This record gives sequence, structure tokens and C-alpha cells, in this order.
Amino acid sequence: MNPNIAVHRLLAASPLLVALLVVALLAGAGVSEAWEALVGGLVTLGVLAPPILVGMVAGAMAASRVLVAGPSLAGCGLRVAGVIDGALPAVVPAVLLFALGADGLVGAWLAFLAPAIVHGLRSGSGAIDSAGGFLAAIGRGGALRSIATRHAVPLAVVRAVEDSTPLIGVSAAVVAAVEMLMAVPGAGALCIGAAQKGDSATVAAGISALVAVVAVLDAVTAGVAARWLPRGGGA
Amino acid sequence: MTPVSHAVLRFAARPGAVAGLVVLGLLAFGNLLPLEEMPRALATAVAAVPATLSTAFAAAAVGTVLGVGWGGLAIFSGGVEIVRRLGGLPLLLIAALVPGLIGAGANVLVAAVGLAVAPTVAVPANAALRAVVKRDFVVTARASGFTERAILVRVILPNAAGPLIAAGWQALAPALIGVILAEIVVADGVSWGGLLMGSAGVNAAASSLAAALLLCVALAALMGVARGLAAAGRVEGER
Repeated sequence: MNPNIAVHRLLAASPLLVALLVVALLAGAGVSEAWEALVGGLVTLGVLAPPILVGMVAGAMAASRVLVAGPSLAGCGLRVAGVIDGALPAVVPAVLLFALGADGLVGAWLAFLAPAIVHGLRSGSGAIDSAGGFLAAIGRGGALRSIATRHAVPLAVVRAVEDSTPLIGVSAAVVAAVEMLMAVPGAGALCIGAAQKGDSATVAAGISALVAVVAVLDAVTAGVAARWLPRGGGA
Repeated sequence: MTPVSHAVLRFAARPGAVAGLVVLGLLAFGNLLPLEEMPRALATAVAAVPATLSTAFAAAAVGTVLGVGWGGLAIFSGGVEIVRRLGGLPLLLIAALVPGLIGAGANVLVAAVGLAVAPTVAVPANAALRAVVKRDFVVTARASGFTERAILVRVILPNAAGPLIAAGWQALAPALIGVILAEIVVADGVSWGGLLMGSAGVNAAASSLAAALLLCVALAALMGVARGLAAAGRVEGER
């Protein structure tokens, strides 16, 4: 990871965070609400980061291996992933898992895993497609497995991690719904619970915590991309 | 052949887009389907969909108007950078929480979600308008003595209509998620969001699964139509 890029992203998000914290204070948030929101934010980070990273890396690795190996039945799977990516919000697997009796942190992880794998498959295959010439050039005369392992997989994985930022930012609403369903005490569930009670101070503090979570994840993924994404390779 | 017929043909050439439109039509008028012949859980979910979908359509329409205006103004002021800065803010979540917080009704929800999805429209609308503004026929119209207002109304907007509709359609999926989350906050047992959370009194788990399935179907249909509109709305001469 490039620490300079990550720090720069965090600093860029800091005025927004400060503004939100001022709003929270003006709305009457005290130390207890701020503490609750901070803990909720950490829980949300714990809910989001593992399944998104594992799912997207797994999806991207699968996509790169399938594409480098050439057209096959699995290639059709990639096309299907492209079609359903975005049509499978985590709340859908969450409902299914809840009906099967899963809840809590593990239930939330499993709920986010499926959309993350689908997004990783799509993002990874897109990265490999756009870098086709680059991969062909470096792979001339090499074994397919070697090309996949040494070049295509890292490329797809890093692009998938970089692409995860909008996935995280846009789906804060979905995160809140999943946390509510799975009874996970994250910042999203805190916001919904507080809104149901009309407690605007806690809502403002919870939103600040969610913004902080997104800023941290954004900084990490930008740093990863800046360090490992190849430049000038058409990717 | 007129540009409109070309656009319709390009849309119809995509089976996913046409199927998506049919599915959305069925979902929007779900109350007219023979619900008593369906399994009870599915019928409950299908009956809840039209109200949520119509609210989402209204919110997306508000978002489209605001987003297109924003995208148009940003041609002169560079306001698209603000959209990127707003990207880190959970706007949809905030919009969904507002009606619950202040105890307001559907109109406030439509306005709040519309405001939240406007940035989604502003960026592609800005790109579409910029692409048309640079075209030769706009320069020709200006050289022919058309006023700026006439150029906007009679030249730019008609030629950018396709991409602008496609941009507006992109607001529908987030608007739907926002409206459903607002229903979750209100915890109303008969709404789509309420069913997802298992708030339906009888047969809650099955109704919840049916609501989740319909959400997947609706989002896939919206995306299918979005791809069709993107293909149909491509400006002539663009690749």
C-alpha cells in the first residue's frame, strides 16, 4: 500500500467528518452517544471489511484464472456475474440466511460475501479484458498457469479492491438494513434504531461513524491501487 | 428513419431491456394480477410492490430533474467536483432516515430520496450535455443567430434527450433501495421494506423471502432496461 495516497485520502475526508461531528454536537450528542457511534463504526468496519476483501479477491482470482484459461463453461458464469452484479444487494442473501437461522456477525459476513464475490468476478474479468494486450505481451511463450498466477491474478485482485470503494459508499443503506436484520450493533443499525426513536443526535453521530468507516476503507483501497496497479498497461 | 425510431430499434435489439420493461410493468401493476391464485406469501409481497415502486419512480423523477439541472449548470461552473466530494457521504441512508426522524409522510420521502439520488444523475447528465454542446450543429445554430435559450430548447435538449433519459434511469435502483430502507425504519408490516424485515404477522419468513426475490427481480429488470436505454440513447455518430 502507498501510505502517502492513503493519508491524502484520509485528510481529504477529514473536513466532512469534522462538519458532521459539529452537526452531531449541535444536535445534542453527548459523550455516551459519541462513544456508542464509535463502537458502532468499528463493528461496521468489522462487518464490511472481511467479507468484501475475501469475496472480491476470491471472485477476481476465479475470473482471472477462467479468462486466462480461455473460453469455457465457467466463462458463461462470468457473463452471468456481469448481469447480476448490482441486482444482488446484501439484504437478499441476508433474508435467506436469516430464514435459515443464521444471524449476528457471522450471518452479516455471509450476507456480504455473495455480492462481493459477484462484484469481484465482474471487476476482475473487466480488468483482464482491458489488459488483454499487456497480458499477451508478457505471456508470450509462457505457460498459461504462470501468466494467471504472476500477472492476471494480482491485476484482477487489485482492480477489484480499488472498485470496492463505490460498492461500500453506495451501499451504506444496505449495510444498515443488513445490520438491522442480523441484529448486529453496527453504526447502520444504530442510525435506524435512533431514527425510530426520533433521536437525531445519535443519528448524526452514527452517520459520522459511517463516513469515517467509508473514509478508512477508501484510503486503504486507494493506497493498495496506487502501489500495485500497473501503470501504462492498459488496465 | 427518425432518430427516435433508431433509438427504439436499438432498445428493442436488446432482449434483456425489453424483458426488463415487461417485468417492471408486471411489478408496477401487481395488484391487477390474480393474487388469490398465488401462494399467500408471494401474493402478500406482490401486493406490497406497486406502492414502493411508484414512490421510487417519483423520487427518481425528482432526482432526474435536479440532476439534469445540476449537470447542465456544471458545464459552466465545474460543479461536478462537488458530486465526487459527496461520494463519501451516505446520502441515501440520511434520506431514508429523515421521514422517520421528523415523522413526515411520502412527499418528504420522495423529496429527500430525490435529493440523495440527484448526484447519480448529475455526472452522466453533465457528460451527455457536454458531448452535445461540442457538436457541429450547435456551433452552426449559434452562427445562424439562434438565441442561447433557443439553442438550449430546440437543439441541445432534443439531441441530448436519449442520454439524459438513460442518466435519469440510473437513479431508479438507488431510489428503490432508499425507499425500501425508509419503510424498514418505519417498520410497517405491509410495505415491501417491512416484509423484508419479517414484519408481516402471519407467514413472515415466507413473505420475507418472496419480498427478497422480488427485489432481486426488480433490480435485475432495472439494470436490463438501463443497458437498453444506454444503447438507445447513444448520440448519433458516437461509438
